[in-house]
Amino acid sequence: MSSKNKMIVFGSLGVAMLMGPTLAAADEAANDYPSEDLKFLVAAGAGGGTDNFTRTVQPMLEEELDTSITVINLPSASGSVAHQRTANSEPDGHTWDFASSTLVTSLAAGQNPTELEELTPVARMQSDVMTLIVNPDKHEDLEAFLSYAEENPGEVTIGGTHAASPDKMAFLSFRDASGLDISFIPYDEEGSVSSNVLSGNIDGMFGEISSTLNYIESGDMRPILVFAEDRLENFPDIPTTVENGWDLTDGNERGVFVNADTPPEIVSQMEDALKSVYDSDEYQSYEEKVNLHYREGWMGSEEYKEKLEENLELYTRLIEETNQ
Amino acid sequence: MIENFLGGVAVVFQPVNLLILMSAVFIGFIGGALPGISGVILVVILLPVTYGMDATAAFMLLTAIYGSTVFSGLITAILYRAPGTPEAVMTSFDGYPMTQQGEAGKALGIGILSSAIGGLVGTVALIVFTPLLASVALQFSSPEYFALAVLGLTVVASLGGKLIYGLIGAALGLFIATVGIDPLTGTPRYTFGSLNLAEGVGLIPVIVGLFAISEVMKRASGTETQQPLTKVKVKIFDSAIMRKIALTLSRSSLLGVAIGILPGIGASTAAMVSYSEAVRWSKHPQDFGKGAPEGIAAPEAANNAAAMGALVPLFALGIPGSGTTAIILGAFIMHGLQPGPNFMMVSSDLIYAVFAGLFIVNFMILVFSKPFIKLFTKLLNTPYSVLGPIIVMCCIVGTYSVRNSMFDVWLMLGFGVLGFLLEKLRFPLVAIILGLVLGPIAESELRRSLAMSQGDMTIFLSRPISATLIGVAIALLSVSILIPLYKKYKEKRLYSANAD
Amino acid sequence: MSYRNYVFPSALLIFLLASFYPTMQLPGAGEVSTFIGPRLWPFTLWVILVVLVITLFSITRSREKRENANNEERFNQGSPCNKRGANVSILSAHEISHALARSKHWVILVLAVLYTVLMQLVGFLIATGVFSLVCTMVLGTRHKGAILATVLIAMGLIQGVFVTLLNIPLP
Repeated sequence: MSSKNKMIVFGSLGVAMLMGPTLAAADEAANDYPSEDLKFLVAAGAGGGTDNFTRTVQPMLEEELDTSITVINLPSASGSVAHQRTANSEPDGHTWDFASSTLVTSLAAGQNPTELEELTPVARMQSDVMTLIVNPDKHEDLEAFLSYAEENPGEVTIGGTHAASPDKMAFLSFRDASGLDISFIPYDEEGSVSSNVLSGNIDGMFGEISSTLNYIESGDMRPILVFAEDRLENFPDIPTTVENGWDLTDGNERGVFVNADTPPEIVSQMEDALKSVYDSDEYQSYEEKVNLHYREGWMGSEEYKEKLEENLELYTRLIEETNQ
Repeated sequence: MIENFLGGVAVVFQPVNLLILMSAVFIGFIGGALPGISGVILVVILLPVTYGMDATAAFMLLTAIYGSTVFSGLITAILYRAPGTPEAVMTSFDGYPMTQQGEAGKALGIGILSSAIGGLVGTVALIVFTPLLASVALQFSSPEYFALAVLGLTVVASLGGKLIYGLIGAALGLFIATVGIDPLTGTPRYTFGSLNLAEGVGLIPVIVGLFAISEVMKRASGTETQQPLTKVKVKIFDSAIMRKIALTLSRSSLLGVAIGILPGIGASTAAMVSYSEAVRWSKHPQDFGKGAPEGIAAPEAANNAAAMGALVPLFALGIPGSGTTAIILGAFIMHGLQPGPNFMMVSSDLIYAVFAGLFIVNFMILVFSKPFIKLFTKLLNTPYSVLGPIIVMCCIVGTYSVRNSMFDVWLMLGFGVLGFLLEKLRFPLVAIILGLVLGPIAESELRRSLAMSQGDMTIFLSRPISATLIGVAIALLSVSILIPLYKKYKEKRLYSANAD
Repeated sequence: MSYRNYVFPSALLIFLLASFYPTMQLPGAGEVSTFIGPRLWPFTLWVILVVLVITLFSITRSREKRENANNEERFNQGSPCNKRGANVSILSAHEISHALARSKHWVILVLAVLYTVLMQLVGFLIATGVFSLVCTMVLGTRHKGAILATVLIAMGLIQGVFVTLLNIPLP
């Protein structure tokens, strides 16, 4: 279908939505899904991790589902606009929402008006590992960091991106578990956080291992704590949260969501398509390239849903406690 | 290092790579000239295309596009007062009056020359000083950024027009900048529950509305007559003008590099600070805003230099200096490269090829801009009744495409009306932009600084760089406000003495 | 005549008064975990703006007094409205009707608004065609060829550059 025709389809789709009653019956749709072009809404700006992820799987899914796909970035309000549009879209599985853990963190912070119940998680595709990273000139290892923080209450500052991000949640849950008196400084960009750690202006940062790998290799930064159950194969020297008695394993995750009213048959069709993309060599080599292969990313619809609900409950509690 | 660079040049001169560079420059030209299409969008759009390419070619393409978009924003800024990129806002300030005076060719020539020189200075700094400059940039943390924003805000006093309007404009811009989710606490401010406002008021809708739409309205109202343009001849090398702007050029280029290497502060800020310094150091500051050649040279040299400067922390430390470089960083990772402290050593062949590519791109801008601009100047002679609707359409579609948001289009039209009305008062619109750009930096960095120091205000004075910057800002502000006030006071006394 | 000078400061003042309540609603430093709360900065700006508006009022007043004290002739020369009047009369010589010439810019704005609405209803391509057609005619092009050319160029530009070249999703 040429792009001109595509535009007209979207235009008439808009008219159809305005008119109110849904035109397509759900049962029929399940048989010949996808019956029209797909629309991928990205709940993040162009160029970020979620955008990269979407644009990487786009051609693979086009082949898998034999359709054509338009990618639309909706970064406004931490991606809330993308979630809202998905929740209000026709429940026929033609509008997919690509989101990161920011979906739950912003929900917990009260910045996202689309409730978790309005969306059905289709699958989780990526699970990045959260780490506490410090400047080795300031803190030698986890023990040194912990004893420094205990001796100087209120003086340790940790950076991260944004006020309602997975970084912030990692900080809150770490502070909650460890009982340390430390404070968080949110920055607008990840680059600003790492430059402040490099220059020693702040004590450390919470961040994904994938994006700081090069500093770790050069010795300018040192991860001292991994949010995981078992030590990572590639980094056997870094202690984990679980071995320290803290039950924290969440990192930034990326997955796909649809309107909650979408018929289950279509959701499972989508899940199957994503699964076969996930298992492909092409996708796996992409994960390796961007350092997302440290732990299993795949999680099916049901399991992912339960996990998100758990996360939401924890984050909401943590944020409420901070504001008291 | 020189060997490396020559090796890079050899790579660039392979026919395929030259072709890539040329098409990159052309794409950058088109994108930069369209309001709303900035370097960020272009780079994102072309990112998937580069996946299939060889890494060296891919990054020459991306960085060349980046360089040429920063340049070509000036074309529409000068000809139609519709800045194609946010970086070119300041350029329209003196460039458009020159067009109205029938000197569009001269204005474009100055812009091209300044861009190319700024870009070259930036590239040389990039090649020679990358490792050194990067460590300097790391010395800048929140207190220094706050001080820099304060210094930038003192520009208001030298914008010309009524001082009170300038102050109101800047304060209004700062106030508008607080709309959206507070970056430090996540509290929504003035969003009235609307998701559209959660991300804040975008820079593009405000700029396009205030400048381009209001200008179309002004022209349509027919209250301003314009000199009919005969033939626009772009003259790049004009010795009389070159002598006049030589000092401004060198100062602005260096200033641009210095500001560009600071992570998080982009070419738009560099253009603003550089413009204000040009006014401040000028012997005839009253000419600015009415078509002073220095008023074009300063922001154009600075924004191109800053664009190159923003690549310094990217290559040396893996830290992006601006929005576009952040995406280029993402592209490096997708290509399996690891930008970071070791990047220069591990991938030196690639980096020097990219450097050489950028160096040559700046010459290409000099050569290719002339025929490209001819296309635009031809349009100038078409009647405004044809041109006006096309400009309005480009503004609407361009604004929409930035965030795929219809709300932004409404916002843009609203600011168009506001700009049109304020223009009648001779209100310095650029003051609003200034507040809007610097506001978030000033506020967040102030609060981050206090978080760093546990609430101790002396952090701004105990750090040498921030103390110096704040000292300079206070000195400049008091001089530029007190002197006119004192003069006015004297005049008033004279006047009342006469009246009696 | 003098009320014109007060339109801007009054509008600004109304804007500020309207924004007072939402400003005070923002949580202060005590209610959040940072040293400066989300309220302090906008509130400071609000106070600065109020001070500036009051200053503007007093400047406008004092200048008006001074101008009134001067003789009528000098007042007329300094008035920008008069100059504008002169230009309009020049234009009317070009056989453009007074009323249309004075309100054309608002017509353009209304058209731009309609274009934006239309774009969401019928897609941007048709909207672009309609808009460029009407707008060109309003702005005074009578020549059929020119109108057609504008419509084609506009549609080609938007379709070609934004959709085909840049692959930007438009409604």
